[in-house]
Amino acid sequence: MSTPNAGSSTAGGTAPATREPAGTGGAYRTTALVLALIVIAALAYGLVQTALKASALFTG
Amino acid sequence: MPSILDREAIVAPRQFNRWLIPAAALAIHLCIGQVYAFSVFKIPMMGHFDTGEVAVGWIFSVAIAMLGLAAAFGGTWVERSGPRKSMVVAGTFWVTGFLVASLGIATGQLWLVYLGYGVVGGIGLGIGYISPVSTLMKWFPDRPGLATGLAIMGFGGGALIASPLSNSLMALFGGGTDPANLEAGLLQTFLTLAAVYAVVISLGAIVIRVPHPDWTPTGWDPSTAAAKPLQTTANVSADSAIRTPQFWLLWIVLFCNVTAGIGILENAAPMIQDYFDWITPAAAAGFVGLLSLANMAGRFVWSATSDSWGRKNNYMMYLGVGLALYLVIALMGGANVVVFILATMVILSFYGGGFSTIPAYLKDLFGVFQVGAIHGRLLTAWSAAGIAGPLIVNSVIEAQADSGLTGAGLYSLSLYIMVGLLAIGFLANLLVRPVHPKHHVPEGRDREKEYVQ
Repeated sequence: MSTPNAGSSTAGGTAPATREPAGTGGAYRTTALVLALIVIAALAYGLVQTALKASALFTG
Repeated sequence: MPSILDREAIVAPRQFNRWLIPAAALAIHLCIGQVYAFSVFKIPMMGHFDTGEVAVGWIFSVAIAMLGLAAAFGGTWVERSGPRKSMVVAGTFWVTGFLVASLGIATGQLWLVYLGYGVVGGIGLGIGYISPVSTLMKWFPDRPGLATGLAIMGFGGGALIASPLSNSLMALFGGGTDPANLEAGLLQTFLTLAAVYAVVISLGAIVIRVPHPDWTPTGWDPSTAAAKPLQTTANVSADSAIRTPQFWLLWIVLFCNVTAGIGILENAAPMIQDYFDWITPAAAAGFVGLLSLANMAGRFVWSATSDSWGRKNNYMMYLGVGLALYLVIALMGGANVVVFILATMVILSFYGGGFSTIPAYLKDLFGVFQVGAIHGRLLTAWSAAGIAGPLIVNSVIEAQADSGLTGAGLYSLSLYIMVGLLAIGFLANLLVRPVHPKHHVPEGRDREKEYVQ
């Protein structure tokens, strides 16, 4: 995980330089990965179900 | 000290993989997109409340009307509060809406379903729809069309998921697939969906981050954006934006594009059976599924291409090619089923593309400063089209039927009306020019407002 670059010459102004970035460590990455898997699985479920329904246009 | 819900609490470090963010945006859109699958509850609710189709249909209409109002009035708050707080608030409204509706189902009080799913849930819809969009555009300043396409594709995808899922849950809890079984499983299905949506939206709110103020994508030079026509590096506030002709021209563009899409969507199943009398009800349902896929694919594909082609050119295509395809259906749609299906699929893909490209178009014209709030106000065009589209199509079909027309003849007049609407939208898009600099927010104020509350 990177650290805030408070002293960076590219940091624009006081407020951005003094702010602590939010945590993005192991727990965060695990949560993000789990969410990505849920989203992909849900989309796959919806697409397969709809494709099956749509196939009735050619078979039904 | 900022709360964990505030924008300040979710500023990402300078080194951050931005591809973690789309899943968070998709999470909320996949949940609230359920609203487009509401029709699966129609028959079970009609049986449960012993009422007609119109009374149950009002639940969906109230929800969509509240979506437009909440997006319009809540947009500035969403922009000020940041994506996590707005996702939590949207999720709370959406889930509470399901719980209040569940109470209505349990007690047999239909008005509680109007209040819960329609009013309370509808507020969640409006806030939830706009909450992740501007954040995604800030993460993808080099590809805003792709970013908004990803998020708004989720709204289309939500219906694809919720429709079969709700049917399966009603059958599971009710003990079968007969109408009486589905009716018996209604309450547990609403409660289950509420629990699922609460978990998924919460995960999205945990994962969402806003970019560090000094972050830019690797290899991206902001000055290249200024070189493209209609793309500004300046910013316009939401209050100023609605005083510009560009806002109202885009309002007309969105209204015409949505109304034209609804013209097909509203009557897709009976339409294909009227055009081709050998199409069975099961095949017609398959046609509706195919249109849903085209709608969802269009949201991602066309919006992503707009990063290369330019937003104005994309809308030229949606409205111009859409107009030509409506003419093809009106003049020769009944001659060939393949032509009919392909033409309607492309029109529906343009309908979806119109929704997902509009936030990036707004960003091009008004900058990223309050684009979420401006987007929210523009969504009133969606609400208006949601009323006008079905009204036009259904009243014309009824009038044609009363005058003795049958088959494809029922739809010709409404198709020509849609051609006229698309022509108006095409002209409005043609008139879009860069916003006058007098509307721009003074440099520095936009940055200050965004990061220092």
